[in-house]
Amino acid sequence: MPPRQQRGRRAPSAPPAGRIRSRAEELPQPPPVTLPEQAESRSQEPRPPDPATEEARGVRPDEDARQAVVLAGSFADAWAAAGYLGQLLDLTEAMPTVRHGRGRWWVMASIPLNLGRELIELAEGRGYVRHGDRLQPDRGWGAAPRPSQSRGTALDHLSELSLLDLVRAAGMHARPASPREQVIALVPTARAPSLLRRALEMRLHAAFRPVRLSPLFNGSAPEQQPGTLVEVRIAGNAPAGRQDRHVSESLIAMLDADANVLLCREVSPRLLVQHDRHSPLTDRQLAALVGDDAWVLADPPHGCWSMTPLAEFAGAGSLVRLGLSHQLEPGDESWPDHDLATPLPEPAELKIVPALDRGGPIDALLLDDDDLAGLPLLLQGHPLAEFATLVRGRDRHLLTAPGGIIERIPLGEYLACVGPGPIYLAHGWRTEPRLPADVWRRLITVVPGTALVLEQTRTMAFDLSRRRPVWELWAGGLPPFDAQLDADADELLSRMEEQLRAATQPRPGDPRQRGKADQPGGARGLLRRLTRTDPAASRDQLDWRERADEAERAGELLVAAKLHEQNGELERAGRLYERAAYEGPGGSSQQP
Amino acid sequence: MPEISLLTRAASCYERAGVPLDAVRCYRAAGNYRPAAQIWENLGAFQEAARDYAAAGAHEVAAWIYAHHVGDIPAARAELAAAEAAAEATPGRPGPAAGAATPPTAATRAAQLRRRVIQARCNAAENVAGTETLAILREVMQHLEQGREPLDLARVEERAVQVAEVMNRPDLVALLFAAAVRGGRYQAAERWNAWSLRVLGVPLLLPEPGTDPAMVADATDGRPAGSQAARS
Repeated sequence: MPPRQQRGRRAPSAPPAGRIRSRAEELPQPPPVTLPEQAESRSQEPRPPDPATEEARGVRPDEDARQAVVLAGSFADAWAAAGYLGQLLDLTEAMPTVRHGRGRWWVMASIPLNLGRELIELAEGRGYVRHGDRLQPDRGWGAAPRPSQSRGTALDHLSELSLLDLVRAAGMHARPASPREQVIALVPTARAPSLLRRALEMRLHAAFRPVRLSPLFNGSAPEQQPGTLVEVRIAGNAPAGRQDRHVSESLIAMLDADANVLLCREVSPRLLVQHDRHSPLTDRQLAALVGDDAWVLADPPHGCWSMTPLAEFAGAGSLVRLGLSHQLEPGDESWPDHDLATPLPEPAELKIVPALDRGGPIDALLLDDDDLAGLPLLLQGHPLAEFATLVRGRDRHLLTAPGGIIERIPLGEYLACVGPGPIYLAHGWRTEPRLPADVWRRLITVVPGTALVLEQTRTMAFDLSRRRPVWELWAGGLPPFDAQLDADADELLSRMEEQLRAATQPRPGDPRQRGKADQPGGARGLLRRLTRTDPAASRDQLDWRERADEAERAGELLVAAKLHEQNGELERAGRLYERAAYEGPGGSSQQP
Repeated sequence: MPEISLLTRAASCYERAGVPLDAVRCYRAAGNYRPAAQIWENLGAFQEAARDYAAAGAHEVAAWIYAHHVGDIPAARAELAAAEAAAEATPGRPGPAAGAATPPTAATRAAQLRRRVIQARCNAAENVAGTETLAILREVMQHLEQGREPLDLARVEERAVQVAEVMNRPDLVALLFAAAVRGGRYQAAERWNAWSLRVLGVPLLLPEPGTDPAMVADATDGRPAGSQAARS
């Protein structure tokens, strides 16, 4: 706090020397230059304080002035008194009371003497200390004044008033209103609907409730009779942080200019103050004064009221009057269905329509007989011939490959896979409506081991167990087997064959007898038995492409993609990753 | 919604397999427009590259491609305005909110210089505002010669040289390269020599270190100016 340079009213009554002991006295002082005999005599005398130093420092000494006394502040106008009252309301022990007399306002409270002096001086009042039924004038300095029967003011000459009377006398001053997120308008009932409609048009939150108003002050003017009004709360609609969350200033200005409307700000749920008016008490101090009923404080012509809500808030939409066509009427009996077997809606017809994106890779080829005839010419020597497989049908044939055909072979009809399983649409076409991957997943579980090709008018099904390597188209069957053994070895093997056959000769009715007739005999049959491998064992020896194919057909696209990527088939790996992104990676996404 | 990481992986596979258009499809489906734009740019499809750079928010690159490769100057100026607006909105940029005392960072100055070069390229294409263009090129020369910060000057130099070439001003090209050589920019003399061989058909002759007064002055500053020229 900057030091006070002057204290005009206190200067004439400067404290007498020797009465003030302040901390300033304890400050180290430079030793005076004295003769030895003088120094000894001075040390016995009390050192007098220096009032000039105290005045320059501007510190009100605390000694003898810290105890609580009943201190009265006397103020020439109610505004200053109310300011002092507000400060006292913040002190819980003060218990202020208000009196009026001799043309001045008196605010009395139990308060530490020096604190009271500071507050009274702030409000430009004069301090009095109560002794019995008299108020003794305080010097504003040092200890409290002594009791005296002749000086001061008798309390009997001052009439006691309520705090509210002081608030009323102090009135309010105008201050430009800041933008507000919410305003409250008290309007006559006839004006409320138009205001609410306007608020709705401006996309503001608006709610209303009827309230009962009764005069706040005793002895109010006779025209302040109790009555009812409508309280309308208008709030911005934008989320917090947006600049337009405030109520429009033009709306506030319009409401403020309307003599029938009282525009308020909400200080607390029980205190409404005219939106651009402020009391000398702060909002918090003012709210502490409010009793049971809510207060409405406003300048004339509106005045101050005690407000009692008569209902809960209702949205402004409830006051919108609808036209005749909006009235509620009984439903039309013909509208609901009556005779349907199931209330479920009829599913939309699945159509196959052109798609916008036609740049995707090719997953399979649908061939007819002519295409099949030309296929060997295109695929002989082609890398695709190593692993592409063909499923022959009646008049259509399906050419697939693990990871997709990819290459645009100029033959047949291009197909694109649409599901996690082998479900194909013509390339560049899609279903209408679009279907989620789960639909295709369910569809393929209905017909496992089958590839489906959806066309506009039919769905072709190809049995994948009949897949054959495409090279069989031009490689044909195996040539006749010629063991090229010499005559002795051939005879020996033939005898061994006969003995084995006799040893394993089934008796009549033995089920093992069936199917043996078509087994090759001689050296070829023996060789086959010697080189036969266990199907269970061969499964572990599948090459990576067969494993990838199995995973792909099982819908585990991520596994298949990783296998292709690890083995350098990057384009097919990319296609499988792409399909996995849209159709789901499959049930098992672990490393292959 | 497609799985973004799988689409990105698919695009990577397609790129390695040498099928860039499929990679572009996957990158765009994943919302990853910048690598898609780079593929387009490598393929020479500058219109698509600029469109994808703009979608990726790289308005400055899009503006340069529109101006220099596509020749769509209105689109280039629109992208340049978008780049300016994005730079204005960048947090931490000096402005009224940040306080005028905050100095611009080296990256901010580099981006500003690049945008000014694009402005010069647009001016040169439309044959307008020649004075402003010359002022921009002079500013570039000043940065090439005296700039002590890593302002991505190689790209600025390359673009400024292209602007000067469009203006049919080999003298400005020479001044730009000379500024870069004096500023000790890495392999500036080699780039100047390559330009001379490509455009003039003759190799470049630069003075030996210590014989050129400007280089001597640079050497007194303690900068490695002229060392590149000596190697050439």
